Amino acid sequence: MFDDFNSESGVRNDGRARDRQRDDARNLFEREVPLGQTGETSLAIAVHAWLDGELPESVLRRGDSARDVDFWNRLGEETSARRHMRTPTHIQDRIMEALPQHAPQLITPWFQRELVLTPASAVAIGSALVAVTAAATAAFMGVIR
Amino acid sequence: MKTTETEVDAGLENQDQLVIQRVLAGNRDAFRILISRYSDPLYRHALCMTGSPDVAEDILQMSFIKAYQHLAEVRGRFDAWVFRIVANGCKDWLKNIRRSHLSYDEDDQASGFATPEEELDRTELRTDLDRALATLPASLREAFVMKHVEGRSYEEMADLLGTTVGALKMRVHRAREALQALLEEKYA
Repeated sequence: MFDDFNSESGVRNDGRARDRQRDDARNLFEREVPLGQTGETSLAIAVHAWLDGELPESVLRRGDSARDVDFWNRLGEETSARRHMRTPTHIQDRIMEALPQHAPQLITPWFQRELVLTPASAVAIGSALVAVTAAATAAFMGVIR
Repeated sequence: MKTTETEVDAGLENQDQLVIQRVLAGNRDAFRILISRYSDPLYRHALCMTGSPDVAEDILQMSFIKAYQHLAEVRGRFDAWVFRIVANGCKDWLKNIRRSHLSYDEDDQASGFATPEEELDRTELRTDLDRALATLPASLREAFVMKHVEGRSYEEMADLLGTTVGALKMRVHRAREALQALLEEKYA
């Protein structure tokens, strides 16, 4: 899915061209190629390393990335706050009420089910095989003649 | 440290298996243990992916019902299995819905800010972050949320999503760059 802030504003006069541009942007955006090889990286590798816990903040403070560090620290406060969100208390009761009353059972596909062969079914299967073979042989002989 | 974490995981997995056996034996109420154990991280994931508390609640409910119905098919970790159900539910919703607005239920979150101005700033940042996240493709949004909101390691993410650490790093990096491009003018 690709969305933008102006997605509700409708199609522009040049809608077709815009769609094509958007498709191109989407393809570029979702392509998984190593960063740093295309020269399009806007965020320093060191900032990513810091955000991934591989570099201490002090290293970035000494360089040109102090502004990025401030930005991500601010964003980090918001993402950390979200980490402590709890499920609303009524949800558990709602889920329990909506569960089926019977215990869950394993639904086995027919091809994985155990085959139970009784004497009667063995005779029936054997007879069917003989009949099918006889019919196939008769048809084959008819074709040859 | 690594051994201890593994032991804790194995302990939880064993406890989950015991609960699952009880549910399969007919003790329906035992399923509540699994719901209360895992609903918080799953709700957070659904909420950050969809941006809507109502939708997140619906996805959580449908996912746990599905998990209950197919409980006999669980192989391995229950938490990873149910996470995949929720994650797929979010992606399906994102495929079908184009959102017009986002909102958060303020009542569910405690405020740690001293002044109304700080609270206002935070609300604004939250709304802007939601809007920026909504512009990302689902795969990038999912990777960013798992890394920065849920605080998972790349290895754990790879395990849950069935992909490689390298691919996930790429997604997180792209998500960061897109978010910074959208938000830095206002917040940097």
